[in-house]
Amino acid sequence: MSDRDPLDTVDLDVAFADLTADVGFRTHAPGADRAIRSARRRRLASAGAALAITAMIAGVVVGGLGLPSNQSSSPVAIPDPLPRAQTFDATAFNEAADGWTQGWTKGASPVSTDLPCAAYDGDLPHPLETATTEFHAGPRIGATLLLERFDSVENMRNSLPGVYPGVSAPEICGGDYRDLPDEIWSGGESVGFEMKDGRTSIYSLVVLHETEIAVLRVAGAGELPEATRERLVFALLADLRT
Amino acid sequence: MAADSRKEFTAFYTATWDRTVACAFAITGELGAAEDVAQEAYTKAWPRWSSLKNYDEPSAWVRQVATRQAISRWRRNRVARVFLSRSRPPEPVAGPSETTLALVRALAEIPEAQRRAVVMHHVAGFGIGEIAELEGCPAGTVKARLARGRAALAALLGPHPEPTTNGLESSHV
Repeated sequence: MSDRDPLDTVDLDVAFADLTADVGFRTHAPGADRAIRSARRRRLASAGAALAITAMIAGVVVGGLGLPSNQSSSPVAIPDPLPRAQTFDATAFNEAADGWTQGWTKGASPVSTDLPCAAYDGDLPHPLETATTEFHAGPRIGATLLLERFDSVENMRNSLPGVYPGVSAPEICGGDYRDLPDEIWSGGESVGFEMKDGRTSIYSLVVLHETEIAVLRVAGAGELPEATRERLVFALLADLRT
Repeated sequence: MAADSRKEFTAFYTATWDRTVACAFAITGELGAAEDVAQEAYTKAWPRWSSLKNYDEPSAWVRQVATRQAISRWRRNRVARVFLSRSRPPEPVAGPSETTLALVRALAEIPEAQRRAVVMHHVAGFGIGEIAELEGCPAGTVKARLARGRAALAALLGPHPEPTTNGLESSHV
């Protein structure tokens, strides 16, 4: 180092060089892939949601993100057979949201459904197509449905952090989270997540099917019951199968 | 492209991992904890990679994060360590060489501010000015901490220099 004190001892330089070499010889690096996966999962979690279900069956991936604060979600069973193809419109929304918020109609959301924090600026794959539909169910209750189609499953999955345009790293958002286990992508484990941000009333449900993603963000509708969450996930999957 | 970024990041990780762990290990004295801290630093680096990769030395950012986290972790565990050290003899540590362990033990005996300065300078590779900025203190303070830390380490590690009365090592060192 250019500004090292000239009184520095050669012995200490050697000792620290030996320490670095010795640690390097003995350490086990978990790997860059693991760091990338952890970062992506935290980004997803910082959307103010908890990963409720993820499972892979016959080429279908279903992921549900929901639950804003202090809650662990239980896994949702994958429907067998898969739901029939059906567009997610206001009728489908109201049927799925039975027991929760009713009166959904298509139209501009009266409240923001954007998630907190700055946008992600990484090099994420871009979708081939994007479609956005807004709904409202009252003066302060709104929802946004985002549909994206990619050119490959890999690009679709790599783009996941980008489906949350308002998300940034937990340390910036102030989110408190539990890291997701590796098995989350193939096992169906659930994970709890706490969001310190005050805007925790936004629920985010994500469904992945082949090369497509459906994201439903609902704001101002109150606590999302598990049964409703399951129906909404299935309704989104049905939409992706159209 | 995402694939290119991923390759770059993986190469960066592989090339810099050892030194990042060494920084954390010099603070914590525990290899497992050091690896956790280092991995956490890379986990924080990935979301910023599109910016970090353009830095003159992106590895410095990772070492800084790892060093800070290691210090934080060491502080959290300090009370427990003091209690354990009074309750039972230290457990034999497998892994790093005796020389390395002796250095880490010596580091643990010098004041925390001096240890931070020594590790950031000698292991993480930060200059005086960078450390002063990170520590929020004048460069002179960093120089003094480094000098005193090195003198203390030299005294602890072997029959080498004798510290002068003001804590600075003598000129023949």
